Amino acid sequence: MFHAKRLQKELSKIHQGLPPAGIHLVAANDFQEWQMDIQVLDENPLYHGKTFRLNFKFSNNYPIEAPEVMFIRATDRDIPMHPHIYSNGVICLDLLSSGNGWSPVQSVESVCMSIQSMLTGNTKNERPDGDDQFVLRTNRSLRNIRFVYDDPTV
Amino acid sequence: MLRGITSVRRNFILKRELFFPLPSKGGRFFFSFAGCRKRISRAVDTESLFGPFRIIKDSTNAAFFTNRALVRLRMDMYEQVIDDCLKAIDLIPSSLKAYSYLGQAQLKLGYPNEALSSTLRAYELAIAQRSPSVGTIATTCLEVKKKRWELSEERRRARESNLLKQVTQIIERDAEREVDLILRSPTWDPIESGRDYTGSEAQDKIDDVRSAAREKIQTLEDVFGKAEAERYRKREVPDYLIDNITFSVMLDPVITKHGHSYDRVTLLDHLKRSSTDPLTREPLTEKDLRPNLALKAACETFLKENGWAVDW
Repeated sequence: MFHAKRLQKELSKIHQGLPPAGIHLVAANDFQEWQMDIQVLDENPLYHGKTFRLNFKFSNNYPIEAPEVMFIRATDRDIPMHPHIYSNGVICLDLLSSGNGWSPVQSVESVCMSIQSMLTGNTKNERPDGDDQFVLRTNRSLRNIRFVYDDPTV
Repeated sequence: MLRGITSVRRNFILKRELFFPLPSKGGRFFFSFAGCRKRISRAVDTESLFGPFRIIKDSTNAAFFTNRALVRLRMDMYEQVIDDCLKAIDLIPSSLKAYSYLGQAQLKLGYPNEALSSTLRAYELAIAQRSPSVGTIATTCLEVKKKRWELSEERRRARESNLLKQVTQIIERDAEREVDLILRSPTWDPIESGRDYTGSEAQDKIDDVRSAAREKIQTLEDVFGKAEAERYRKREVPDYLIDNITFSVMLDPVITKHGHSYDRVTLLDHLKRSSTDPLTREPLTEKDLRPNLALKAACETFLKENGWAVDW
């Protein structure tokens, strides 16, 4: 019910203040779906000079419920290589899970920053185990995916 | 469904006796139309159609009154809504609906203070009764606060613009009086004073008086204009009044055992999904919450003077 009002405030904050470096709003035409571009700021060779696009989907229960966040492909925008990012853009991050990972004090901006730092800290040029099968299976909604968060290093 | 009554179904007269609520179905109305038994003309207004409604079934059942209040609310019959709500409150003092409709009607009739206390009462009842409509009622509370501020701002602006007009008139009147004195003054009469009067000297003096008056008025308008601009410039909400979940000014802040404050309604929503403090992620349940009265008072005071912050 208040999700539109809250997103409106996030939007005006992004518009007036400068969002953190490497985070740009691409499109926010409604209060259902936004696109954000992120860049990794340090010299990490895996991501250097590249920009990646995130798609946010909000339910009417946002921010009580987590947004659905995944990478999407576009011109000059690929899916970053990461052991917790599947090649279809699905991100395995406990912050985004609707269980205890998500907290309503998070925002679009803070999620972008978390994903940014998740990339910054990564050195492995690889996809998660079973990426092929996962991508084949995952034609269903993101919400139905249950990840087991077993890697505390990321 | 209710709006339909005023338009399409206005053609049919309602059979009074069959106007009954089914409280078990969430208070929805079930109208039975007396069919086409008696057609009435479109010219008949809704007041004469519904005005004579009598609650025949059971005048001790508050649901009849709250339901009729809702119908009348939709039909803009606000005075009657108030009658119905007061009757319902008499019957059931904890009637959430009655207080909620009462507040809406009072607001429409231009009594924001009364509307606020009714709506706040509805909010308290909704919290106590764990009503699912608590979120809507909380939003209404804030809307009423905004409306109250708008009305008081309107009055203030009217008062100030009246003052400006009045003072301007006084300055103009004084100037004209002075001009009058100059024109009548014997010193400016060439015959009486014996001076070489050309009239231009008098005219100069008069021009001086008038331009001094214009200058005063200009200064006055500048001062008023600056004060008004200042009001708009200072539109900032202090962070400590803002809920970390809704990003809005809080209505009913509660403090957790970890010392963080949140607006009650949304925090309860969050606790239903996850028993954690949103900021610290430490375990938290409803029992751990205490009202933060000082912060609540601060939010109230702020909104009283800054109603715009509701939409901010």
